[in-house]
Amino acid sequence: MVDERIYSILKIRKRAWYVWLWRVAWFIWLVFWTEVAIGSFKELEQKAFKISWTIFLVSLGLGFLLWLWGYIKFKKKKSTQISVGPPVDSHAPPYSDHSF
Amino acid sequence: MNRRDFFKFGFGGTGFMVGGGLVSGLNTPASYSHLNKGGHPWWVETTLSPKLAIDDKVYSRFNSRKNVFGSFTRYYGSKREKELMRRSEAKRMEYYKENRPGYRLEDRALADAGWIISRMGGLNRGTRSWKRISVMTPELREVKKYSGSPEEAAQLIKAAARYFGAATVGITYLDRRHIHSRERGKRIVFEPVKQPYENKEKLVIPDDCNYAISLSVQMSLENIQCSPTAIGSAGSSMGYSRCEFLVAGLAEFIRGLGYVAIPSVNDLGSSVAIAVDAGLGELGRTNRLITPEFGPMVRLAKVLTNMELALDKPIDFGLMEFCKVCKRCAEACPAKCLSFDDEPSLSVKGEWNNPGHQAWFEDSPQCLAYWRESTSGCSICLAVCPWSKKDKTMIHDIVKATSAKIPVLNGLFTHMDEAFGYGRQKSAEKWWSLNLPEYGIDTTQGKG
Repeated sequence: MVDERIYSILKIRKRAWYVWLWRVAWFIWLVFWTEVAIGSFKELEQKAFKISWTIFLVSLGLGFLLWLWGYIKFKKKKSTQISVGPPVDSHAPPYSDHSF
Repeated sequence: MNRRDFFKFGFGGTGFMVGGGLVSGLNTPASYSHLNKGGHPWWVETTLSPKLAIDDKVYSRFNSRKNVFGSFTRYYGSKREKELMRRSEAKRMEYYKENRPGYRLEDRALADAGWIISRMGGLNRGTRSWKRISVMTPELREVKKYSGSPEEAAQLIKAAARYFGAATVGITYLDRRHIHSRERGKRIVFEPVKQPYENKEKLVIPDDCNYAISLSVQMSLENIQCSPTAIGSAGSSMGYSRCEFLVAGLAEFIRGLGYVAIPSVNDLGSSVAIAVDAGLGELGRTNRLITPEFGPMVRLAKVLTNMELALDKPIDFGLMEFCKVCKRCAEACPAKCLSFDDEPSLSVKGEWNNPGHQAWFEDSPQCLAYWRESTSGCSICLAVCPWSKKDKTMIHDIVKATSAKIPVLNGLFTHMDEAFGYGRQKSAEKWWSLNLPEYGIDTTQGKG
C-alpha cells in the first residue's frame, strides 16, 4: 500500500474505452475552437472571433455540466451502496456508471 | 437505444469528424511544404490544360483599345459619362465637407501616393523599358551569358522574383493569342530580331521570346476590405507599384544573365490568361484570377523572355465548382455587373471582353461607372470572396482543402463564410491605427 503521508494520490475513476475517446474528442474540439478564436482575433475578424469563442465556451460549459451530472450520480450511487451493502449485480464493476 | 449505446455509437461519428479535422489540420502551411506541387498546397492538382475551354476558332489577339479604359465613352455614352463625372465630382466635394472616413484628404493622399512607382513605367516606357536600364550585361562584363539547364534557370528566376516581391511565380510557354494585337495605336508584332524595339508603327517582340514568367504580388486584405473607399483604393495602387518594382527588377536580372526581357503589368497582354496557363490560379466568377494561397487578393504582372525555362502546369483546386455555387461576389457587387449564371459561358457581355474562351463575363462599363460614382474605385468583389483569407487559423486550410476535394460542401462553406462575418466592409477610419506590417501584407502567407 502507498503511504498516504508521503505520496499524493491521484485517483482516476475507471471508465469504458468510449468514454475516454469522447473525452479526447471533446478536448480536441475545444483546442480547435480556441485556435480558430485566436486566429480570427489576429485576422481582425471580430464576428468570427466572437462566434468561435462562443462555441468554445458553450462546449466547455456543456462538457463540464455533463461531467458534473455524472459525478453527482456517481456520488449518490456510492453513498447508496455504502448504506445498503454490496451491489446486487456482482458482475458490474464497482463505481463505473459510464457517465461523464 | 440506451445511454451506453448512444455514447458508443455516437463516438463513431465524432471520431470520424475529429479524425478528419486532424488530418486536415495537419495540412497547415508548416507541414505541407514537403508535399507541395509547384509551391502550391497539397490539395492543388496540376492539369494538362486550363479547366475553362478555349474555342480555337474564335480566340485571337485582343485590341487593347477595346478594353473598358480605352473605350469607356463609346460603351457608356458621352452624355451619360459627363453626367457621371459631374455627380462624381459633386460627391467628392460633399464627402470632403462631411469629413467622411475613407474619403478624407489623408485617405485620398495615401491612395494617390501608392501609385508613385507604377507611374514611373508604361508599355516600353521608364521602369517597363524593353531594353537594359542600368544592369551590367555579360557582354559588358566580357563574360559568356548564363548557361544553366531550363530547370536551373527556372529556379534562379523564381528565387529572384520572390526576392523582388513576388508572392507566387509560374512559367509558361507563351500563347501569343494572349498578347494584344495593338496598343497605344501601334501594332504589336513578333519578328525574327535579336532585341525588342519600337518604331512609329509597331512594337516588335523577338520571335524567340517564347517564355512568359507570370508573377503575382499580394494586396493588403486590410485595405481591400475597406472598399469602396480611398483606403481600399490604396490597396490596389500599392499593388501596382509593387508590380512595377518587381517586373523592372526581374527584367534587369534576366538581362544581366544575357537574355531578352520584356516587363509588363496590365499592358502588352492578358496577365490573367498567362497566369492561368502558368498555374498561378484559376479564373473565378469575377473573371479575375483566384489563387489557392491568396484568393483574388493579388495583382498580376509578367515578363516575356527568350531564356529557356522549365515550365509549370495549369492548376485545378476546384474553384470552378466553388464559383458555380458561391456567387457572393455577384451578390455584393453594387453595380450588379457580375454574372449570376450557374455555368461559365462562351458568350461575351460586350466588345470589352475577348471572345473565344469560357468565363463568367462581366459588364465592365457598369463596373467602371461605379468606380467613378464611388469617387474612389471599388474592390468589393475581391473583398467578399471566400478565398480572400489570411492564414492565421487552420480552419481556412481545412475549408479550402475540403472544397477542393469534396465540392458537395461548397454551399455549406459559402453560408458559413457569410455567417462568420467574413467579407464585411471594414472601417477605413480604424485602418490608420492597425499598425500593419510592411506594405500592409503578411509576406509569410502561403510560403509553407
